[in-house]
Amino acid sequence: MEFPSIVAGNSRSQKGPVKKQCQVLGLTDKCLVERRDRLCTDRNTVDVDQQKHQRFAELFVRNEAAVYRYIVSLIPNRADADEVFQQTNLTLWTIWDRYDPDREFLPWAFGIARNESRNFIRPRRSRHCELTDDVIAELTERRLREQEHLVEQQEALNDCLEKLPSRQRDLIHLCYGSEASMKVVAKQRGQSPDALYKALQRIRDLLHDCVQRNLVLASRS
Amino acid sequence: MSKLNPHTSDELVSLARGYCDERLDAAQVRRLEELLRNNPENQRRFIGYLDLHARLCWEARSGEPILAEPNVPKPTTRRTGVPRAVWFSAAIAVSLLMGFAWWTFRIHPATPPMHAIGLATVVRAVGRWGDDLETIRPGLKLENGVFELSQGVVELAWPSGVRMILESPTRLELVDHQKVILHTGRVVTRVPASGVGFVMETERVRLVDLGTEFGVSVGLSGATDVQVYEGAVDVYSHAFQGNVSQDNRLSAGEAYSFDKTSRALPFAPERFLRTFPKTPRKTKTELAYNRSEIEMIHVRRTAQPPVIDGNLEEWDLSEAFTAACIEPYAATYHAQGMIRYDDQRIYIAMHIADPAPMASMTDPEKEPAFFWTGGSVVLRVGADNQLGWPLNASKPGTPLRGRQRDPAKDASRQIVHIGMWYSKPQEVSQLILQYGIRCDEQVLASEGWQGAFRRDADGLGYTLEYAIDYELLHASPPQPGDVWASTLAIHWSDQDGRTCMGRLLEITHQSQTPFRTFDAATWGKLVFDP
Repeated sequence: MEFPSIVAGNSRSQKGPVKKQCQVLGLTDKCLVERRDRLCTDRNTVDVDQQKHQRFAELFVRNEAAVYRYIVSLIPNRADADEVFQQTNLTLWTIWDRYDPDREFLPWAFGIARNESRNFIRPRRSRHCELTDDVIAELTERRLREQEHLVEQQEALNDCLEKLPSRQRDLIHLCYGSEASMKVVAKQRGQSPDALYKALQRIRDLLHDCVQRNLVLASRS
Repeated sequence: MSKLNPHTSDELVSLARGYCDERLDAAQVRRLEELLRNNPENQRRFIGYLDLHARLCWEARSGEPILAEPNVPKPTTRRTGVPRAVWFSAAIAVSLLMGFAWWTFRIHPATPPMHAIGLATVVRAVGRWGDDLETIRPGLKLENGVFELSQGVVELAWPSGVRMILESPTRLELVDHQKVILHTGRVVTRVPASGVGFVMETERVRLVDLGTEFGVSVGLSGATDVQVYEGAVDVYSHAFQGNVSQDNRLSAGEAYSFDKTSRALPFAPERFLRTFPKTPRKTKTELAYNRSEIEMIHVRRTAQPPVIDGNLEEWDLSEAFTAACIEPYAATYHAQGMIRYDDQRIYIAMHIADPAPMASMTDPEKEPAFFWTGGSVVLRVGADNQLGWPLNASKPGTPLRGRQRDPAKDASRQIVHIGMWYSKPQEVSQLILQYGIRCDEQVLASEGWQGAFRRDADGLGYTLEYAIDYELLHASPPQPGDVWASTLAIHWSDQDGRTCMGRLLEITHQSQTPFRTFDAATWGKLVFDP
């Protein structure tokens, strides 16, 4: 087959892309109509797809903190939980089109998070104290039922964190924000690991009590 | 806080503490399970305690102090659709933005910009980011800082409902939930009613959205084109004189270019990519790209100039250099090339394996900075032996790593980016010449060159052949032994000839990594043989 050689030269055209396509192909006005119709059909399909995708994105953004909390309840180590959270997010975005918008988002997302945490723990079973499946199932169900209450609890926690003295706030930041192990942090502070764990537990207990008290007060007001 | 009761030390809480700290032995785990099994009240308390721990983890992921300062704004309603943790984190970000510029302007983070607490989320992606070409995957959270999209297309979603489609190469700085700075590149933004007031700044203008869809492109010089598809955008100039309408408002169907002056552009719907492209299955998450292995190309002197017809019969293909994308793309995306010279012209011949050959729909008159997106070959040269190799010329902002900037070389017009492609709608070969390392000046050349393309019989590739006068390169004929700094980029497009789907970079300075297009010290070289 002979191919024409194409040497430099300009012949500018200002016509629309569909018309250009048809002209390049040597097609007629009928082609124009058919192609436009096809474009419209494609566009409608894309619109529906985009709406579904947008709805998914909204649900994802709205619920990601709840998914994260669920993962931490399965894998309390922060670095490990972060990794599972990241993997869960990737999976959610990969299979977003399998989500049925007529169903609740959180049970679906929790299911995926549970699978990801299982996959994560399996090769590391020796260093993770995982609860048995039946207990996790009960806790998952409880969490879903009481999601509203848990969100309220998070709101109450804001006030409690504000009241926390800066010294204790710094300690939380140090222990939770650091990549170093508690042993290393303890050594840096000239403390024993036990003393550091206890200090951290005291702060969590203070916050826990504060949250419970605020929730009681809120329910009375 | 001192008035709070610190005593919650019943057995369950004690075990919950140990669980959070991973300090339970097997017997304690079994005891914890006994307490939790069939006991809703204990389950509730256990979850409550763990969620407190989770919240501290969540806040700590931002890497910032655990609590905002006292002036943290709070949502006005008791409960909104978005968990307060997200708002709370955003508030921390905003307050820190005001106080700690070092955090705000963290350029090129060393790790992927992925955090639980981000400003925007990648919702679709076929692309790579940063100098190291990390793969971008949906779900990435982008925090504030500069996001550099090196390859591909990415769609971002903001919590306010704002959506953006970015085409590479783009440098977008995320400032906060309401503002971005587009340094270079192309972005289409859709702003729903919930996101009205969203601000995009460029070097030339500040755009305030009024609930709309609009496209913005920013070239290397900062020149900004704006096209409004729906709604309206308010435009505030940093400094220009021109004929944008007096109320500074662009409405649907209007397009303007803002540089030293402003001017109306013809509205061209296809100017921007408005929907995320459908991608071939095998490029769903990966892009074709390569690892450069060639530093030097020998350029042979030719006694007989080749006929520029797209037929490479008179070239000795056994001397050609070859380059290929990494697996699994090598078989589909690869190239062979040769360069020759005589006293009048430099000659370039290449065969490119390309499943969408010669498909470019780009219009260099409307979008000269983005001619390559539809598929192209770009050879960059420092067209003078005196410029030396490595060539110390780079665009502002490039890390110099101990080098001193050389203003004369930075400004040299003998540094030329030679863009070659076939325009499908016009059925002609094209040549664009961009001068200076920053591409400050560009010419769509009509004289002084010849170019020809030829499609492969199987439709899976093409051949190109170019002859370019030295005059166009502001160069003298090279002498045997001369060295020109040079690098080569090949771009592949989708079947529509609009979106770049992959890139091959070759002829690079192997000991200077990462490669940077606009840092000529990372370029390889052409060595002119007798």
